[in-house]
Amino acid sequence: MVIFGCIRFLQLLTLDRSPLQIAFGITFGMLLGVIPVTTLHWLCLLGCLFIVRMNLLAALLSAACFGLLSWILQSPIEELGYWTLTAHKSLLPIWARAYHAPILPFTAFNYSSVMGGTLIAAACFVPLLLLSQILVRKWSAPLHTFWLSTRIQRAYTHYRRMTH
Amino acid sequence: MLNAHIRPRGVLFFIVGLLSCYVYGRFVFDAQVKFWLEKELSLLNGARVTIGELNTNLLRGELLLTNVEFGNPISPMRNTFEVGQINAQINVSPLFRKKLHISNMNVEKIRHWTQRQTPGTFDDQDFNRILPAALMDRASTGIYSGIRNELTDNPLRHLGQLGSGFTLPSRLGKFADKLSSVKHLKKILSELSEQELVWEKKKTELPSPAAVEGLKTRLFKTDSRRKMLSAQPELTPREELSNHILNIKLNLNQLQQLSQNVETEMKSTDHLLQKDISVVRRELGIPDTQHSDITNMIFGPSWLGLLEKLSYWIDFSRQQSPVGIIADSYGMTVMSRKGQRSVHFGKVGALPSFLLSHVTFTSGNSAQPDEITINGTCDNLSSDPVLLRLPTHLSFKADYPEKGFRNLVINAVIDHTGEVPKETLNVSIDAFKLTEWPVTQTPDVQITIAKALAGLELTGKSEGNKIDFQWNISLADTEYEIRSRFRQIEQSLGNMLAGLYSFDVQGAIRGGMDSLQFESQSGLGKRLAEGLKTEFRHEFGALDDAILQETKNLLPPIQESIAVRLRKLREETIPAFENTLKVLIPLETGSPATVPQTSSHPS
Repeated sequence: MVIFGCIRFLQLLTLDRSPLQIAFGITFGMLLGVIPVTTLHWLCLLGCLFIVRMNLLAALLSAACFGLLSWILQSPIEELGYWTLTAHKSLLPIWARAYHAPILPFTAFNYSSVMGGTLIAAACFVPLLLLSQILVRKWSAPLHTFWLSTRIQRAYTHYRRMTH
Repeated sequence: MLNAHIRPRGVLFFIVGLLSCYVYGRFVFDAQVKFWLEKELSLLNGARVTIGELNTNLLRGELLLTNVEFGNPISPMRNTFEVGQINAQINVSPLFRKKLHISNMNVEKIRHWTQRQTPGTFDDQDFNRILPAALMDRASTGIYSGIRNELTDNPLRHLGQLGSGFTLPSRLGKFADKLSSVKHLKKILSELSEQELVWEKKKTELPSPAAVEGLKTRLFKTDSRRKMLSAQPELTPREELSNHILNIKLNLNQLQQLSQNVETEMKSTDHLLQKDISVVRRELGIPDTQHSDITNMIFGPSWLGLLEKLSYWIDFSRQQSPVGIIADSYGMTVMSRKGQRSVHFGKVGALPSFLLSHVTFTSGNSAQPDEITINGTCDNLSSDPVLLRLPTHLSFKADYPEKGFRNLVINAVIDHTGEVPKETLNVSIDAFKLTEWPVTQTPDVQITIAKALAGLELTGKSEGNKIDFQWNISLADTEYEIRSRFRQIEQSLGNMLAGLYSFDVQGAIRGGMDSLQFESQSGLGKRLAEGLKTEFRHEFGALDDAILQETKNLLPPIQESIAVRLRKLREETIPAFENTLKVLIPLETGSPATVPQTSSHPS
């Protein structure tokens, strides 16, 4: 029963399964995984994830993978953020204005790890969206066929027939 | 169409989330802040801090805390301080900019050393592990390592051994190699051993009887034969003979010189014995009686401890409000915390992310006559002084007549507005009771200032890595507690300090971390230094005699080895050269008939 419950939950997560929605799910997952939690823009992204129709399962898996990756690359990401914040004198007025603006400081952009993570996430957004769309178009049908052929899915189908 | 892209249920969840935030702020926020504040203040205090009640009104910017108890880590059932009420006025608009600006704060009804209802220590072992030491016990150790040895070498530490006596022979054996006389004799021995080998080799190179006989035969051959030989590049027998004689004479001179030198060097050993006495005394840790003031040494550990405590708070202030960089009228401060860095920006003069404009500390009107009276202010405490451009001022006065503590005044200025941090501190206490101040604590001798009425003046500043602190402690009505296992030492120390009821202890430390200069003087230090010379002169005299005798006892084995080698040189090597010379000289002057027959080879 637990397995069937899980499968049903997975099916709920995969309701929006057009290639674009899956690609959006992967890309949003990347944003959530790379940008540090408890920042204002991360919470906004989380809200968007629920409001905008996109594949939640893809987002969940992508967030886990990219979260792990960003944890591994924590040090270079932090260095990138620190470099961005301090290395350019010409950017000082912009940072100063943002630092003293309302609401914006809650994004914690002045933290080196947040700035580094946000920059990498922003830079990867469009390429990852396009790439994942291509990959989804190419691989979704074979993967779906493979899934239907698995014993778990077949057992679930039999169970549904028996219970209805 | 909208439903194709938006989930209506998702919007609902979002609204529910917002409502939850409101409910949290309305009902849970205060408890959460109280919990968080208690935890953070406990970490700062080193013992449990409890807040009786906490009320916030963010719309009006009010924060009220009542009955804040700061536990004591040493006495769990006592509060170091108890604050009746803390009333803070928070500016609301900076909160939207993630800034906390407290325009005014009143800390009222401060009481000292009150009773607690529950213990102030933590049961949680994990939490205890991360708790720092008590506020007044924290110190940055290791930063004054350059002067640590100088300050901790108390000359009184081995005084007790004068009473117990020394097992000199066994101890001397351990550091015999450091003694000048032993080193000197060993050097002579080593040089003599090397020379012995050289001269042994030279001895074997002396002409043998057969060689002398051959030389004699060749010496009296015909002129024609001589002429023929002279045409060749080889030496003539006479030249050969002259060379031999010259060499032997030279060698003999050198040998006699060597013998005389060794004898002279051995005689000079006696002068080094006096030097060895001070070496042995230093190695045994016996006081050097040459000092005229030993204040540095007796109060050194105390000064060092105080300096390390002071430097902890300087470091703390520099971490909490770091200096920054100013570029094109913009200020930038970098704070490192928990492995990540946050950069604070702003135009010079902008408001920092944390600002406590003004705090007033008072013990309030309710303070009883037997309680501590405290009045103080603190201005411009901020996280980014480089933006605020105003230094932090701290002014504090306290009076505690019940405990004999009169008129404590602390004035501190923390100026981190530039690129180099500067701190200034002035502390003065008109009078306080000094009790149980250790002067020296060793198993054999313990000297403590049991009771005294003291006053303190301390002024100092630190700028970057440089410090300049001066202090003066005036003591009056001083009573000493002298304990020793040895009655004689106890009596002598008592005689030394008799009549010394009041004196000043002055000290100063200045310079960079790598070139600190420390100086201090006191009546007590001078009295003890003088007393060491006079009161213990007989003991030191006897000890010096014993050291001299024992050091002399170390020398005979080495001297014997030298004598053996010297004897061999005089009785074997030198006669060998002399005998050969005796055989060769007649050859040079006389005819073959007058030349004596060579009998034996000197070997």
